[in-house]
This record gives sequence, structure tokens and C-alpha cells, in this order.
Amino acid sequence: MANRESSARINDAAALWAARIDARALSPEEEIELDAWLSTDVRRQGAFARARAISIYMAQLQAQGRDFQGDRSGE
Amino acid sequence: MGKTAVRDYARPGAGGPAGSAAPRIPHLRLGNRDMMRVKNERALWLAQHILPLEPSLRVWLARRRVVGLDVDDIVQEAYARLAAIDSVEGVRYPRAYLLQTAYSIICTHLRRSQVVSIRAVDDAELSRFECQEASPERRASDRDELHRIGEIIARFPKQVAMVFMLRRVEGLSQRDTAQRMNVSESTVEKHMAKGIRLFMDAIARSGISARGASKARNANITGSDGQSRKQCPD
Repeated sequence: MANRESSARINDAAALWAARIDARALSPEEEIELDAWLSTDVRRQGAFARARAISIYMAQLQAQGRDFQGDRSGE
Repeated sequence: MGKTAVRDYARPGAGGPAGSAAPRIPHLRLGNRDMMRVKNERALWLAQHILPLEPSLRVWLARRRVVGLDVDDIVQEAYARLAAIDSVEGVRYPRAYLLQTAYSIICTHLRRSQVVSIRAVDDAELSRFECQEASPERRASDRDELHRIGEIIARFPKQVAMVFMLRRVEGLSQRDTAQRMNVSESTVEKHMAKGIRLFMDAIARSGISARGASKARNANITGSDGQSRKQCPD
């Protein structure tokens, strides 16, 4: 229990995998790496599913236009 | 009294064995890519039906106050279960289903931990929850949602926001985005990952639908459409 991987770290990796899968086909090495990563903790599987869902959710923007352009208030 | 706490509230998927197996035992899934890796169509379903409910789930979990339980852990496990069940066709009330799934996960943890009595979960409340209202969430309109997403993206670091605009709004490929920004493709990928990552946190904090979050506080809403108030998956 003491050295459990944090949810934040899991999310970091899940987001990267989701971004990769979204952009291109994984290399054979990456396929294996992803399977290995997922296989050791169900939380990783969940974080990956969540990251994929979020990626897809955000992709809806693509279909729905550009309403929010110009919203940037930062500078 | 306390014993009822481990009934099959959340046997997901009308008896599908995948969902009812204890999902934290990793070796059950070793080497089975279909089980471990969410499929695209399921990820779409999660995006449409579960992401907007995540604030509800977190509010509900935060009220459990079960010692030693980490909300993020439960949320991740809940997504894992929903990603792995055979079919979601039978899920008529995603909110009730999601909460039941989370509840089942909590029970699994409690049984295992030995530290916390199972009675740490209040039985009466669980019974109430078992068949509680699960009116379909009224999603914020697409326009509102788009606006909220825009606000989240507006707080992204500049480069990350730029990548998202080019990829998602203008619809450029990763390669074209890289050329436009004069960076490598792997940099674009990292920026996209960063954006997804920030979005993961944004959803955890406030959600993408504020209405979904406020509904979680009221267990007695009746569906305006007069739909059944129960969902007790068999």
C-alpha cells in the first residue's frame, strides 16, 4: 500500500497514451508497452478509459465549430 | 443490518460476468487486450453518458467519508469496470448505474481492508440509494458545454491551447499542426497529452456540466418526464 502509484501519475501516463492513440497508430513496441502498462493495475485501465473518453469529448469540438475562439482572457 | 451492505447492488450489465468479477485482481486481465483497453465505441459512450456525471459521482463519494478510501481511486476503478463490461445496452439510467458501480467497488475495498468495518457505510442510506431516482440528466445545451470547454481550454498554457485549436477546431492532422507551429510531431503529441491531462483535472474539479453536479445533492428529484424512479439491475 505504501508505495502505491498515485492517481495523478497514472493520469499523466493515461493522457499520453490517449494522445498517441488519438493521433496515430501505435508502433508494435508501443502496443506491447501499453498492454504491459495496463495489465498491472485496474486503476490504469480506468484512467486510460477516462482519458480516451475525454479525448473523444474534446474532439466533438471539431464537429461543433469554433464558438469559443477569442475567449482567451489570459493575454 | 450491516451485512446487507455487500448485496449485488451493482452487478453491472444484467448478469454479464465481466462486470461482476472483482476488477482489482490484475491477473484476471493479464494479456487480454480486449478487457484492458477500452474500445472506441465504449469510450464514446463514456464520453456521452458518464463524463457529464462524474461530478455527481465525486459529490456522492465525498459524502461517504469512508476511512482510507481515495475518491480518485474509486473513480478510476469505476471507469475501468464500465469500460470492461460486455454491453452497456441495458444501462437505462447511467447515473444510478455509475453510483451502484462505485458502491460495489467500495464494498470490495472494505471487505478486503479488514481495517474499516463494513458498517462504515450507512445501511439505511444505501437502501434509499438502491432504488433512488435516476432521472435522465438534463445535459447542458451543446452551446453551454462548448462554452465551458472553451473556458477550460482558455486556461491552458499557450502552446497547449494552440495545439488544441489547430487539432480540434481547425481539424489539422498532427503532422500539419507540427508544421504550422514549427515544432516536432512528438511535441504536438505531448501538448495534446498535457491538454487531456488538464481536462481530466478540470472535470474532476468542476465537471463539464454544472447541473449534473447540483442534481447529485438532491436524491428526490422526480423526472419531469414521469419516467420510472427505479433502477435496480437484476
